[in-house]
Amino acid sequence: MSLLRVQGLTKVYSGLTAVSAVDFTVQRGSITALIGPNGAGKTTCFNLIAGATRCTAGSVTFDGQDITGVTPEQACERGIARTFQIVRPLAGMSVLENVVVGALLRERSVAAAERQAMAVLERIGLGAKAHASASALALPERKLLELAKALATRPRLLMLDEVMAGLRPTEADGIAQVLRELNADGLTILLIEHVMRVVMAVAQTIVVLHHGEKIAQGGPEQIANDPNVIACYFGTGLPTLQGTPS
Amino acid sequence: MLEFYGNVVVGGLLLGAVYALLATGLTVIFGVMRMVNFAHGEMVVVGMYVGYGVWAFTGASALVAAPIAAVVLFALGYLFQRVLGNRFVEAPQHMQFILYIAIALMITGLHAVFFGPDPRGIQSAVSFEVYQLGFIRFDAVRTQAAVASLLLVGALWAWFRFSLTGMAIEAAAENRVGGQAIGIRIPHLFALTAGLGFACAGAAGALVAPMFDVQPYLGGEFTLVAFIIVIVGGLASVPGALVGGLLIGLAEALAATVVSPSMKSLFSYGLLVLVILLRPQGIFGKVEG
Amino acid sequence: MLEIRSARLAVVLLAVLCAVPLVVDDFVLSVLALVFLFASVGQAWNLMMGYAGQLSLGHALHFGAGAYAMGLLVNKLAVSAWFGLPVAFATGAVLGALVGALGFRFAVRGVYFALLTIAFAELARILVEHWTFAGGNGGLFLPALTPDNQPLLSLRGGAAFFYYALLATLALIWLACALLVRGRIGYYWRAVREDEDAARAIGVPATRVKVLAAALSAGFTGVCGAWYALIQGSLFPDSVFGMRMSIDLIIAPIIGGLGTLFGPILGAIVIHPLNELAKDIAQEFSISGLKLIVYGALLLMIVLFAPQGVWPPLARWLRIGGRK
Repeated sequence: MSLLRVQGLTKVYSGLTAVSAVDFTVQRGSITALIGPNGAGKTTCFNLIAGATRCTAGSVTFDGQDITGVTPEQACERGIARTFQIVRPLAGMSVLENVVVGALLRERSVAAAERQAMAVLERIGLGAKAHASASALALPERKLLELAKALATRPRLLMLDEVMAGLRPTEADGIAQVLRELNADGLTILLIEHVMRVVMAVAQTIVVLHHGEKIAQGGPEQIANDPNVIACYFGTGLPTLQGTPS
Repeated sequence: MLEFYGNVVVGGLLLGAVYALLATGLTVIFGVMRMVNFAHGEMVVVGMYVGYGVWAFTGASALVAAPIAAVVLFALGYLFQRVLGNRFVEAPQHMQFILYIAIALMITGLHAVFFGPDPRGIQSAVSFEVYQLGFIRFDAVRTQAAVASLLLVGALWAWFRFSLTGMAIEAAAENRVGGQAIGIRIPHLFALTAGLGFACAGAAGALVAPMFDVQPYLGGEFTLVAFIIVIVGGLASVPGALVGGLLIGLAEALAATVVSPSMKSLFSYGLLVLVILLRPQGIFGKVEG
Repeated sequence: MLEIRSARLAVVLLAVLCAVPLVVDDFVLSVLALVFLFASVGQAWNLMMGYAGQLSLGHALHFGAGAYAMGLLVNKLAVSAWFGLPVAFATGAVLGALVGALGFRFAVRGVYFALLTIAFAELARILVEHWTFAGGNGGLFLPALTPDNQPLLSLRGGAAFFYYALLATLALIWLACALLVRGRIGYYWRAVREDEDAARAIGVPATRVKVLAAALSAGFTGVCGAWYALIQGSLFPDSVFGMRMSIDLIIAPIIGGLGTLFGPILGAIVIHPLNELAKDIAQEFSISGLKLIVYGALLLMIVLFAPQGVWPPLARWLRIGGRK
């Protein structure tokens, strides 16, 4: 059962084609990874799906409904939550307040939203820092905050843009574990990731982009051995992707 | 009929040329440094008082006063930017706005204190001269001012285009961090830019002094006209300031004649609204990234 | 904890202010009434700037619209002044929503938005200057007060009356803002202020929320304009719609402190008496322009040394929550 379906997705910026006729689906309840070298168009895809950027062409279907061209807040309202590659905390507010903003989408009162926000923070391990200023957090905690804000909106599809970037292996594993737990509870996840160890460990389906085009889609084993994928990362004549040397 | 409107059009264009000089000063400051110079009009008034002073003491014409005003305002602008302005380049716009309003208020106050609030007119032989070309009467004062303005605008444009410093300023405008990385001395360049911007305003003021009675409270109007022209013409575009200046000068002259003098700004503000909503980069500006 | 401190301060302040007319003369009362008026507008403008993050330099549009709404109702239609207050609010709110919606719809930001607001205020000024029904340039005059005037009916009276009326207005506007900021809309406003795109990504309907801030800001300003008409008794387009008024309206909140609940009030308390004092000195020595120099110098000091306004350091000293 597909939750998200992207067809012919294209984005052209005066002369530069960032994304070109990309098709893929994200199965309900799965963890799907979107990978590819820098500049492949992954974040642009996110922006197109989440409504932050207008498509030049193509369509986005979410849970059977066409959502091409909706605004970001409408996409969120429908159940798509996304995080940003460079985290964007609401700096002048506390950690809890940040998450409350997200929670207010689904809760009627501020009090209920505060309870929901606190629950989300506890769930992902930021509970102790609830009253700290969002700008005073260290990077791993900022990543968690970014995740918490998105989760507070009770999404059905969570889109994570390089949430592991800049984290140490143990920190990354921590977040990966949280993601697995969320997925086990039924949350569909689509993530852009460069940290291959995490991708291979966590994703059930992998979509590979290169120069704005989709060049492969499949399970981890399949992708790791796909010659096109290997070529786009390493050039030709090199062994498989499995187990990136650290 | 044709004669009447012809003269109105010519008069408007001539004033528009001086407006172009005024706007060039602002487009340079606003366009290059993104500073919201709400004191621009007050700098024009400083130039006007310089023009008045030169005439009062030596009887010399605006063409002599203009370079003097330019030099004085250049120094003021350079100093201001170096001492105060540069600290605000990265500041939020409402803070910049307050800075410039503060400066504008103080300058207006100083003018009122030193020169009194009453308007002062310049009456000289030139005031009454007219050049006749067919049925068009070119008011001498306006014509001289217009020619001087166009020369200054042209010179500035050429300098920005072809001189090393000018190109450095344009580079710094496009990419400040990149500019710093390759060794462009930003504080000095910005101060230079501010100096040039104020100098344009001052020169325009001196040129315009014989046309309007000089009084301390004219600043606000000039500031607004300058912003309108800069937005309509396009930020950081000297051709834009020229075209915009001529356009607004013409529009004001026609509106004042066809509708009523107090309505002259109606078209200008209406145009401003349309440009801001529909084409914020103006006629010659580039779309922001 | 901090909220209780803040509320206690407000109550104490209110009590003190209610007692003031007992010890002070009419002139001071009239100055204070104007202080309250400008504090109210400052509070209203603060909604736009401090919470929705949009710089409006044309708030005189709403001020003037409210003033003329009241003026026309009382003068031309002989309607009770009480009716003028909600009409002034509505007039302001509609204008504010329109300008806001236009601006936000076309993604006009920063100084461009500020210039847009200036343009609209100037357009209004020019149009009203030529509107003969409203008196045009000659001005609009409220009917003279008769000896049997009832302040509570006509909403016009002596210095003490206006003092209490504007104190009540300020208190109500402050309360309204405090409640809004504490609630759902307040969270959304602050989120939009911090990072609009990030806020949108977590479901904040940014445009709707900003238009609401614009409308409320303009509506409250309109009400203050209405009071201005009642106090002054006469209105001239250039003075209520002009750029000078727009600047006067925003000096106090910027100096007092943006995005805070007490900032605009503190700013008005600091600025307007100083304004009066400077006017006095200037008249004393008949040096016109002195007031402007003092005003400008003061603004310069603030912008250089206390850019967040005077309130935040004071609040820290009183140990009350700063930015809220």
